[in-house]
Amino acid sequence: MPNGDFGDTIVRQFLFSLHALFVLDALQRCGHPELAGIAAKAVKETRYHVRHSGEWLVRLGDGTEESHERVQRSLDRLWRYTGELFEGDEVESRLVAQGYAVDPASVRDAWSAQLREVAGLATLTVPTEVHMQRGGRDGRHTEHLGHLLAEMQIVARSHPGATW
Amino acid sequence: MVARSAPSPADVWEILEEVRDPEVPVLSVVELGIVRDIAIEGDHVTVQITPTYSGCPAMHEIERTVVGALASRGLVAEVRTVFSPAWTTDWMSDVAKEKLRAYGIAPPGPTTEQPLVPLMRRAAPVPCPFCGSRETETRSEFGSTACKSLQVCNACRQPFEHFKAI
Ligand SMILES: [Zn+2]
Repeated sequence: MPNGDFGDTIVRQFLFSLHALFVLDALQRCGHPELAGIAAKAVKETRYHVRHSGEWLVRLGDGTEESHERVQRSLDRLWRYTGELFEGDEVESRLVAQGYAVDPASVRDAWSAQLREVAGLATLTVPTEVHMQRGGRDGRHTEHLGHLLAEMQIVARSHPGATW
Repeated sequence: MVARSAPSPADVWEILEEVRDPEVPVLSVVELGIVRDIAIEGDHVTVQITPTYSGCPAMHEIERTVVGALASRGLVAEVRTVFSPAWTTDWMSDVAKEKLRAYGIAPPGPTTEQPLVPLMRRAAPVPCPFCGSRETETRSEFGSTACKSLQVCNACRQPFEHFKAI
């Protein structure tokens, strides 16, 4: 997605980091000690991201008429990408069965309840639209990803072998 | 002189006390609480380090400096990264916290039991490291590094960073 509106940045970060927080929280109790240790560490950090984006969401949503409208538009626009947060693939299912991963579908209720609570504070309406964008888990992305990858690689590509 | 006999643990800790955190140069890696354990076998030293933050860009620099400091005393060092138990600011000594404050960074308070989603449950204001006032407010959850937040003191008007309790 192109960079631009701060509302998009904040809504995207909130939707994603809230999801990551619940997944990592469950992963702390998985059967792989090292993975559980990394998750325990990541939970501490992800909470800051949730707080940072969540408080901005409330500030913008419950702010001026313009900030409210813009952040609501961002939520409406990004909502269709949230469905896939709760989909696993075949590899993931195998890891879940072995106790090494978290079934993404299992965090949906907690995520949804928390989102609704924050949206309430932010005076925002959670979309009810059911059509969800899919394909990312299978490697099918929007056209934006190509540009993003190109931009992220430009320094390494322009200066092969550079060190600093 | 090249050390041939095995160093004592106290020797190794003493060397590590001189390795500074590149982001907060008033603190050594020992004072920061990230050195979890050392193991000595002949002139070979294994140092267990836990990252402060998982994405901390200073970790590679710290590893390089630790290996360099021990190598300069004729020791072969290896750094192992351990993630569990996760680092907490509670492992910073009171002396280290006072050094931070004197350096102009508000030190972390004790960690407290918090709900998983910490939204809108802000802790008490951070005392200003310059004038001690509690008339301070948070400007940004993230400062010059992810481990610090940006604060401003309304008493002395000084902006400052706070090392967050984690
Ligand atoms: Zn002050």
